Amino acid sequence: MNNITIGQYVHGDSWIYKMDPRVKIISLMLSMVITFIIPSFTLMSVLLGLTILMVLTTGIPFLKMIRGMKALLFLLTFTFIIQIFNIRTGDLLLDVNMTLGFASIAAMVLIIVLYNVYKRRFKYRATLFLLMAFSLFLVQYLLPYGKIWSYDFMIYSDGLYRTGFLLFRIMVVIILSSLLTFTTMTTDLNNGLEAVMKPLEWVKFPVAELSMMLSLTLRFIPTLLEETQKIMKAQASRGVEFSESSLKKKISQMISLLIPIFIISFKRAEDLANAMESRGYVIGEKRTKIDVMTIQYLDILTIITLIGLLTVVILMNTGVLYAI
Amino acid sequence: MGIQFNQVSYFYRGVKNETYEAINQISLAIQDGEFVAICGQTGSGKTTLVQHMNALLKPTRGTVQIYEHTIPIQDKKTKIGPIRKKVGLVFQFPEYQLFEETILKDIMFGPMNFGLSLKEAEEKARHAAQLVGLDEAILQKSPFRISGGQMRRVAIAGILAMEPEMLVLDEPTRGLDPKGSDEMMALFNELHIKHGKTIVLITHDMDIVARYAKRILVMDKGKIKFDGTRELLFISDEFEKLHLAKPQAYRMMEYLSKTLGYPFKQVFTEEELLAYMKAVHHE
Repeated sequence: MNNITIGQYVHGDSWIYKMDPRVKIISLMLSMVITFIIPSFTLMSVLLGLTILMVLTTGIPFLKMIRGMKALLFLLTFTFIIQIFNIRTGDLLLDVNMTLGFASIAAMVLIIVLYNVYKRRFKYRATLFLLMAFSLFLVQYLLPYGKIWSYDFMIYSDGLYRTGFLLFRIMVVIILSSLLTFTTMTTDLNNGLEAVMKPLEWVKFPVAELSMMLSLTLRFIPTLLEETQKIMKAQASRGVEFSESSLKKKISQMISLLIPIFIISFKRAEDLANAMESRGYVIGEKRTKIDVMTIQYLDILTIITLIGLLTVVILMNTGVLYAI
Repeated sequence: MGIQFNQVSYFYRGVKNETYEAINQISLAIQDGEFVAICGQTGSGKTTLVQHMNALLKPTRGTVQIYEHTIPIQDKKTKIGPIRKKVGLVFQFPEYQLFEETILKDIMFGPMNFGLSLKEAEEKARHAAQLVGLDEAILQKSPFRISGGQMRRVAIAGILAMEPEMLVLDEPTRGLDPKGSDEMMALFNELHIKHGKTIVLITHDMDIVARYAKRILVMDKGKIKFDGTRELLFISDEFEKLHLAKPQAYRMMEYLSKTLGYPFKQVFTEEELLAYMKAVHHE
């Protein structure tokens, strides 16, 4: 808990760090729209290629990006399997007879159990997971004994395209959004969001208050963590040892942690409110900012490029331009 | 028995994976029945040092011997709980650790955690409350409805109820008014003299150090720079480098001998100064 990082900001000094946070947020929104309306697999692969190329120029370690995607591995694999099974148009590429039988089901159970037992010892857990998912199907092919039900496992060209299309789309979305959080400090992100949401004030949406709340929350996460740690230590010296006590005891010990933290946070909130008011903070009044965001050539260029791309994609969708 | 530090180092890890030495190769032995004061500037590693005495931190290098246990624990069977019963650690601003409905229940929390029955725990809690001078009548009140000084007494009683052999206190008088501070120190001195408890105390107040401590440790940048009695501390050649102040009475004595020509004698408390001046006056 000592070195927890709030947000995912990676310190760096490339072109993307110099961009205006407002422009970054708007660019992300534009590119999301592009990703979701892009018409063909070829264009999607080009988009993915461009995205990866962009990541390489920002100086963010590519492996870090990949690691961020690991959390979605299960979802991606699941999507892949469902899509392959569902889509049955185009050319038939592969047709194998699979058997669900006593032998294969036993083998599958065994594989899952082994995977769950041994996964902690492996370093490359994502690879292991993929291997596990693959072998689940392999045993259905290899062990046709004790047959209960059998089916044909067919892969069609359209299925592959559509699955690839979907996977690429998810990857582009993840890469782009993590690029934003990797290269923008939380304070900048907050300021940018406030500026982007400014038009909502027309419909009486409390944008300034919301962003103040957000920045205060972010500011107090480390402080509260520190306090929590202090209280944990204090209670530990009164005999609370979370790792060594039973579940029933753990609950009552949890209370000994929660109540002091609640009291401290209320006290802090009160102190903070007084400190802010004594320095002239009034809710809803207009405030100036210490960091003035400025738009540069790069920002304008980015927006123009993205709007251009969006127009092209929209034209392709409406059939004015021919999509590849 | 007491506590032995054996070449103990503790490193904190920073955000970029760099390390900070909080304490560096400390060897130290504290015997039963001592009254030790630990001084030093902010960030010199005092709090890190005392947290090792309670096995709250595990040394990065070296070992700490706490009574019959050695930290880091070698075998998996030994539990860390019983070690903490031996050494009671009172943190800075301990009043923040209170949480129970009544004061009595809060004091009982420690003994209950160490497996005492309800009846035994209550007995110990009442005894501890009496030791710190809490009125029997307020024991059923909520710990959040009493004054800050009282809350600190409750928190200290919560530690005393566990009947530790050694009491480690991290700036126990911080944030108290002078009267409350004097009462608090008198309490620890009584625990030390009447009940034979070993006391280890972090403080910045040199008057407290000079009045009560039998042994003084001065820390600077993670190392122990001085270890000895008060008589030696203030005449030590290193004293100027330790960034410490001299006690009030000591400075008065220095001033008197410089301006009025009184023969200099080390005095540490106002009472000693007064007695000395009376003696000189009568000659």
